[in-house]
Amino acid sequence: MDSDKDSSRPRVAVVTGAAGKIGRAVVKRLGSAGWKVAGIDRKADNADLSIQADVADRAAVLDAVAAVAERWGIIELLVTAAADYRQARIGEMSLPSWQRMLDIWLGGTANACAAVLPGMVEAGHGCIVVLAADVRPGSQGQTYIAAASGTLAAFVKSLGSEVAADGVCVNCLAVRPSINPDWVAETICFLADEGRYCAGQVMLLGSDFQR
Amino acid sequence: MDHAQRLKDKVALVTGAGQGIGRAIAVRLAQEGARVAVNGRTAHPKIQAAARETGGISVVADIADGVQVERMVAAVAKQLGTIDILVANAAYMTMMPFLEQDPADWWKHLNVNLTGHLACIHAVVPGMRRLGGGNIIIIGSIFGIEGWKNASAYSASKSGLTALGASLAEELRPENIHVSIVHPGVVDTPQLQVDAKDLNITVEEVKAMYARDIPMGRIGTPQEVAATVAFLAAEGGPIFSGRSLQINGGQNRCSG
Repeated sequence: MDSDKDSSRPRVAVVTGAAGKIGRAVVKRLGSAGWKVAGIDRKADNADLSIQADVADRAAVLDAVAAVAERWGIIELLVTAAADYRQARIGEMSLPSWQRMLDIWLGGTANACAAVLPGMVEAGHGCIVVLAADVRPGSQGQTYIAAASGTLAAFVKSLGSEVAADGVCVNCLAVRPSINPDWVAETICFLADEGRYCAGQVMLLGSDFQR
Repeated sequence: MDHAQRLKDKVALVTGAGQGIGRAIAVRLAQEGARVAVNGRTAHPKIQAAARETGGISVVADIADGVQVERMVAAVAKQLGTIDILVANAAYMTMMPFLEQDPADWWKHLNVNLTGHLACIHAVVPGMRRLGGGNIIIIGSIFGIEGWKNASAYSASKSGLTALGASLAEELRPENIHVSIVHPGVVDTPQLQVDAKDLNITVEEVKAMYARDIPMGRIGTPQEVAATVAFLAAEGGPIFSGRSLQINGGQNRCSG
């Protein structure tokens, strides 16, 4: 267990959406636990290495991850925290905006996973934590978020099963927009360190009754 | 293994801690600095050994007997201090086709696996209230989420724990008492020897048989479940209060 900790080489993590509220907390928590953290975001972030890129751009994400691997070596952890919380009543969002939501939630997550997975599979070891929005039971204006982000539950269950045998654990944390970002960061540390028999799981954090 | 002292000086009671998952949990909590009471239904040598291994104490009680449970919790409080952490792990299990099962055996499952934990929770909550908080971690089962052939009583009893935990979590949240539920998948415990005997194959064959249905390609270890419980007893308590975590190598089940 924790074989990576035994070497002197720091553990390497990539966080997408690193400049966001949750992303920043994750970057900070991982940094305090000794990880080298690269952030990918359209805005500058507080990671050791801040790469400004759009997660919806597959080529840009592949380039960013390649740059991280070249600099620090094997990437052990990926956290996808890029999000789009635009609200609109059903029928009132433009098609380009809806496409953009899908491109960020599902496309961005798939892009980042595609970028890190070959290295993780080769290493026989890796952890991916996908963040999704928990907007149950849903209120007016949240249907688009629920749909775009909801795709991630199915994505993680499938991908998690697919790569579990390769030693890569893929799990999803479904969080309410009001979640304490430190709780998310703490849970990610657990999954990366000792939650290595969890795979393909969608975990709900926080109470349904405290929004 | 060197662990952070996240639970330093906390008092923990682990029921059903003589072997398997319960024992691994007791050992892990002790490694994290907790003072641990290990419970067994009888004064079996395994319970004494678990107490020695954790540097804690052993407390004998059948959790299906509310009077024994109250006595046990009082004894722990007297010897180690008020209980901060309860790990409700003890379980009873037989496998039997539903129509062949003696109703008394059905009720034994319910009395131990559901009402027994309720009795333990009843007994520890007043102390946790005095302390201003606490952590209750209930050990469910993959069987309790989706059921299992020939395990209707066990599955039904384990299923009730999810709703019990979720309800209690909301009730006790204002008092800083957290309740979470852990559902282990197939774990390498002495139960596999029973399975092997039932199926008339070797333990290794049993492990291989179970592993074929697990995306990760192997069964879990008691230590992996214990690590999850340690997380929930420390920073994970409020985060997952009312929630269930499945530890199963990807053999997830949906509750619908």
